Amino acid sequence: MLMKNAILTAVAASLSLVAATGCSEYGGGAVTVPEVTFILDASSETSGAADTGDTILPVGNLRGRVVMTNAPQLPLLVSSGAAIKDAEVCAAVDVPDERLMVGANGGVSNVFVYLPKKPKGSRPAEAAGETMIFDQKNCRFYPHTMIVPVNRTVRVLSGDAVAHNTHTYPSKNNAVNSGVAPNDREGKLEIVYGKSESVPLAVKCDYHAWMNAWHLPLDHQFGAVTSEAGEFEIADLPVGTHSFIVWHEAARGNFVERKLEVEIKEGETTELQIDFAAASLQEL
Amino acid sequence: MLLSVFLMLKQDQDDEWRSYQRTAFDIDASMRSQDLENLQTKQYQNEVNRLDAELAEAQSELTEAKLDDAGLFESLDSQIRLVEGLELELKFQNSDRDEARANYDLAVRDAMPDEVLRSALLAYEERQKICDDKQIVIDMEQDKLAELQTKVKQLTSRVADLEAEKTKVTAEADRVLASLENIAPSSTVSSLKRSLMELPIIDGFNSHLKVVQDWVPGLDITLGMATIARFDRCRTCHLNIDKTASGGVPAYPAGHPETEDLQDWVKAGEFPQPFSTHPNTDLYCSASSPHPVGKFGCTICHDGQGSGTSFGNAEHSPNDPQIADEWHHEYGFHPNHFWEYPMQPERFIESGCIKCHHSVQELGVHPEYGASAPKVVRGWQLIQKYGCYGCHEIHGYDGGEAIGPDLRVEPQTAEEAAAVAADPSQVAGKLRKVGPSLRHIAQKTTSEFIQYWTEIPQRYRPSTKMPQFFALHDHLPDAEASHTAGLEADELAGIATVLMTGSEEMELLVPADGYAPDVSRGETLFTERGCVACHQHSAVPESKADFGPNISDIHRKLKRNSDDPSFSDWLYTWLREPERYHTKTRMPNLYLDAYPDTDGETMIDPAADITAFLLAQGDAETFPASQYTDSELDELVVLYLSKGRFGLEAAQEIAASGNFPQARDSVIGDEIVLATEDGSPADAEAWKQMKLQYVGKKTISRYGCYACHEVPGYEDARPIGVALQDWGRKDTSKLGFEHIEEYLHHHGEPASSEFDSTHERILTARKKAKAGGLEQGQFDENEAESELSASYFFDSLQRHGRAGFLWQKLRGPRSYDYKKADTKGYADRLRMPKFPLQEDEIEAIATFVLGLVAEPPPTEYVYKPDVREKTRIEGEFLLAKYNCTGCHVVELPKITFAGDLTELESTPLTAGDHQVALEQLLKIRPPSNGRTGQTHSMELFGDKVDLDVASFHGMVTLKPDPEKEDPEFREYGFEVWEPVEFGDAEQSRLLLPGSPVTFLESQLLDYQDARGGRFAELLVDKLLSWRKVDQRKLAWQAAPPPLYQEGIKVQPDWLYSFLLEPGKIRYTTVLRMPRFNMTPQEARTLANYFAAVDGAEFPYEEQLPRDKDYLTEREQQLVSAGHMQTGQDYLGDSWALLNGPLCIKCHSVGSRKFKASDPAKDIQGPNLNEVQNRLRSDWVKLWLYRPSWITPYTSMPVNFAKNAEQFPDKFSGDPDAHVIAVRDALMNYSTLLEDVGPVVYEPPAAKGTEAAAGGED
Repeated sequence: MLMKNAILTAVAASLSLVAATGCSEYGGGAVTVPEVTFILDASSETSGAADTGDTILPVGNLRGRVVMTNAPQLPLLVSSGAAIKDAEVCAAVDVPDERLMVGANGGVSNVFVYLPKKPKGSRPAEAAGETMIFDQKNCRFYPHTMIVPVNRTVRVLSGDAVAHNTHTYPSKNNAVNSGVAPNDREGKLEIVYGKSESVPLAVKCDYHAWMNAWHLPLDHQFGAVTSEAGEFEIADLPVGTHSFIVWHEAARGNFVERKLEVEIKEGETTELQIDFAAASLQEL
Repeated sequence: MLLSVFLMLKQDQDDEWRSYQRTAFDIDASMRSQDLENLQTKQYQNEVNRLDAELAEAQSELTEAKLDDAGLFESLDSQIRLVEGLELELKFQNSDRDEARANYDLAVRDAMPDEVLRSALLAYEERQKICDDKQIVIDMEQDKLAELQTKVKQLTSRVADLEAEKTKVTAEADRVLASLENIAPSSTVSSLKRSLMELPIIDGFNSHLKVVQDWVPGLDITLGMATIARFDRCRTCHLNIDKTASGGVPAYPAGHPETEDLQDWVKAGEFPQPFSTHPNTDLYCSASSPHPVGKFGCTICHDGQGSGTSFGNAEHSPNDPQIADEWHHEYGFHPNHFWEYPMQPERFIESGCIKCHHSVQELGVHPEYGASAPKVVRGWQLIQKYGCYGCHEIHGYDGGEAIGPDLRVEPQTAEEAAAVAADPSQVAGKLRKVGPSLRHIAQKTTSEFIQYWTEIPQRYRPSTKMPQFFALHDHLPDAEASHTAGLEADELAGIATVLMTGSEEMELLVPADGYAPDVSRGETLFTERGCVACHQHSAVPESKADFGPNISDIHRKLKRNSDDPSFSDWLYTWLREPERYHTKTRMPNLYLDAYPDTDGETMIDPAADITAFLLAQGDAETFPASQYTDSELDELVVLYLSKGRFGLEAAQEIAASGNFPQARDSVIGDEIVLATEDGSPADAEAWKQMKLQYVGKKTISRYGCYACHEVPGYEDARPIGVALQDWGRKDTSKLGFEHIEEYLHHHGEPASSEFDSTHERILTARKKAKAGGLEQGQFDENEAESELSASYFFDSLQRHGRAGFLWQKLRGPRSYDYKKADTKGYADRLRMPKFPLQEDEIEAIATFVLGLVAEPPPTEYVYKPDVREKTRIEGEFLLAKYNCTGCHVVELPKITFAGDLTELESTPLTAGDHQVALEQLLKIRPPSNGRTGQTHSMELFGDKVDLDVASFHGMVTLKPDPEKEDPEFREYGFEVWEPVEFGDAEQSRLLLPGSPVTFLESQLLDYQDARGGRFAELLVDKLLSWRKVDQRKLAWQAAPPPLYQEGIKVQPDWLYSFLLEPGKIRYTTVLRMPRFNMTPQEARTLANYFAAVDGAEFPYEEQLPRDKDYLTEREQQLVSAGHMQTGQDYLGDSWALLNGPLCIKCHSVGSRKFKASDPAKDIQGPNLNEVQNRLRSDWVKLWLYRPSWITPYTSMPVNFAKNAEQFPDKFSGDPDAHVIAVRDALMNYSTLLEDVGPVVYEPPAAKGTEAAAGGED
């Protein structure tokens, strides 16, 4: 109820704004920004309604790279041929320890860079897209890290001839722990996150306890995971200063940065290098 | 004479109860008026006005109609009269006919001639015809009448309907008005009549002012020597004591209103005594409570003089002297020494409970009433903690009949136990001695430490519960104090000598040859293996457990190995096998057996590592021995010998000469240690040892050391203190107050106190109380409580009351010997030691002890629980006795929050969920109601809102991030652990176990800690910080499991065996369930306890999956559903499923072993061979369907999701059939292993049609 009232107030304010300026698209020239008090409900954001109530600001982009020098070399998680459970599948190939993957140029992959909540003045989130795929092969999850928009369906597949189970450890969503049949290319198991989480959640397979992945459900589009080269890009950020969370599973306390302040300028792409010191790694 | 009569009448009329009743009626009238006001709202008035207007209109219409058609109404009247007249005539004619018939019958009986018969019959027939004719006329006239009535009714119906409607609308108000009229009539006549009924003499004729009396024939009262019926007239003044409003809540809630205006009371809904209702009417007084006032009266619980109808005669007791002063001022109160049972003051109100509640436990923990009498329970627990019953028996039985709580030491020898068991009039004590055994003390510590410790135990360990026997000299003059100190030095040396020489050799265990203990691993294992579930240690400051002693200091006192001062074989043995040292120890066997390290070869000996860790805290200490002198030793020897059968001179002679005049064989008693084998003199050194032994033995007997400790040679010794089972009725003239007042005038407070004496302390307290006490800021809150309490006890002491005596006895046990040294011999002085008790603990103990009256009411009043409740009560006792709740959560935390419940959504069922599983879940765990029905006003996002208050049981998953300042991001997350319904009649919002509930920090209203499981939580935190696991849920799998709803899970028979000999169940835990010194009876009770609290069946017998009929039926079901061919082996296929490539992933199964990959990370489930004996079949089914609905943190996945196709070739791939088949195979495990043997089932692998994402790797 409470939320609805807030939304109504905001909707009314934004309608009057549209009427006053005659501007219905973002970036339509300088406008006087009226004072609109919008109260976001942090616990149950369903972004659609909220978007309509906010003043849309001009945007810029953020492009960056997470870099580590003198990164430690982790031994393989599983060596090919090791005498482990389901070795014919799980030890068929070498499996790297994905807790820390650093490229040749020092780029750290699998780093989450995201805003804790939808910033004011941002464009509405796009409608729920296609089903996302979460796969496994040789007892390894693909991808190792992913940002999942809320209410998007994640279909869990398996290309292994052995059974797996997919076990999520969310804080605000219903946990899933269900078996995945061998070679399930249809994806009988579906995961849907209804709510944003404040930090990425672990996904494991209890049958093969070394299998590990991370999902971050977000109710906005302002988050990215670094690529193999350690690069990421977040587009269409409203102008102004934003405070990003930089999160990595192997960082001590999991945060590379709790509040990384970045200024976004209209129409520009802010370039950023985030140094992830090897010294701030937890014991691996 | 006449004057006297008038005086008597006057006095009678002035009785205070009349004025109370008048006030009560005034309150009632005021309440009714308010009710009336509340009922007669504007809307109500409008409605009544509308009806009145319509009624008036209808009536005028009716009047007009009557005028218009006067003939109709007149005809109706005359027709009614006509019909009535005819009916009357018919009645007469009917009786004439009856007479004629009777005449005919008589003629027949008398066999009259035919003509007589004929004429009689004729006469009858004539009469009958007249009647019949008349009836026809009546019927015709009635038809006419009905016609007329219908016409009239058409005219009058509107008035009638409106009148009925008005009655309906005003019914409640009319009812209130009528009751108001009854109490406060509005008419002068009624009012006068009511006043008249209050006049003398007339008031004898059922006046509204009258004595209200509860006669409780079953609960006689003993006054002096006579036993008479109990009449309680308390309700004469406390008129509203049992009155409840709708919902069973008190109609007149008790309170302390600020004004004396009863209108204010009514407005505030808060009433002073004697106009208020009893608190907790669900438990007391009301007719639906377990203690209805009509059956119990008042004084059986409260004491006091029930027949009294004035404040003074009722024998009220003030709660402190300040209240006494107020009462004196207001009611002329003064304590009456002549009534045996004055009312219990408020502070001891719970004393009365144990008259009927002999097991006490239910007053502390009750599923419906919670902790109904926490103070008396605390007293009872303290007595058990400190072992008071070792010296002071509290015998709850008289000739086998229960008379009160029973706190006694269990039989100490097999012979004693057998003798008690054989005697039907005896019931054995159940409690163990509270201290450790001293049977093998010489291997544990040194003689010097024994002396140092015994003298002042708290000096070594401030938290010890061992009381202080020595160095209590405050009450003695200086010279006597130093003399006593001298004698005590000899006694201490004597005790140590007896214990060391009497100590029996015990074979010690030692670690494997060459084992090098690892101190740092020892430190981890110390926590992981559960030591801190009972003990505190400075190395683990998070532990607050106090079940066992704080052992931060044990490195100081323990004897080290002579060849290795960093190790103690004794400690190692104690850790490995505590019962070897002390057969009845509370320390369990923790199964600290050596095990191979992850390399599979190097052995780890956890007991050795922990031993090394504990001893590495510091060096062993050398303690000073008591500085005793020979002359004082001789003085004691002479004292004891001369108290025995020797004269003073003879005793002196023996002490000096070292020559006891008898050979050892002929001596009986402690003197035996003074005698040599042949009666010859002992040499000087031996004689000294012999004297020390003699004094030591006398001292042990005098102080009763064996009351708490097992001491060799004292197995048959009896308790030395006064029995307490009827101390609450002890004749106060038999209490030795001696010079206590004088003592407290000069002493009585500890050195740390700001007061020089108790007297000064009490004077100060009284002054502060007089000056306005807490309200005027004279006291701070705690101080008011403690100082007024002390004032109460001091006052009681001055009046030679039991409570005061007990208070000072526990504060300064030897103080009653003040100025008695001259007339009391050393050995006759008081022996009671000083316990480290706080004054509030003393008060709790007093509450319990004062309730020990040994006056059991008739058996129908004694609390007799049914089997389930009895099991629960006894189980609760055992949970505490063995500290089960130290490790295990038995009730989950209760979370109460304010929120918009319409925002909650029912837990969605996914395509993988089975509907039947949900039904099964709700059957064995019916949903609780999350709505409390209350609302909470708060500010949220800047708005003032009213939110619903809801609560549920669950575990915290998310705490507000301390680094986030924005309240919007400060959130709590919980996981519900029970099906809980937050919806209303319109829409269900059912959350299933494992569902998250998150809200802002400010919305959390209350967090009630879990009951039990402190250690589990500590361990979870530790395991997370030690990075062995990265998820809280995984850490929980490594910790002792919550025993939440254990009763619906396990089979009591299995649990019974498990408690006696706990086998290894889990591989994920870092510790094992230890083995306690539990008797089979205790194990049985505890096993049934869990079933009892969860409402599960016990003893458990259901073995459906093993039943042949069931299996046949199941086969037929599967055949008709097309999942099986006729003749196919159902159990055989089920066994194959169980042995397929799923269960083996985590469990050893069907003689195949679990394949480990990384022992540090692998999740190995429990062995499946025990399931059939361990778990209930319904539970197993639900577990297989959806494990997280039972234990949200489990790693066990849903293996047979509704939409999955794990094994398409079995039972047509039906997942539902798979679940039941696996359950049935599990429940027939041993038979199948025996009959079918190990099998390996490989299902046809599902074929992939496209490459997986990592397919190229």
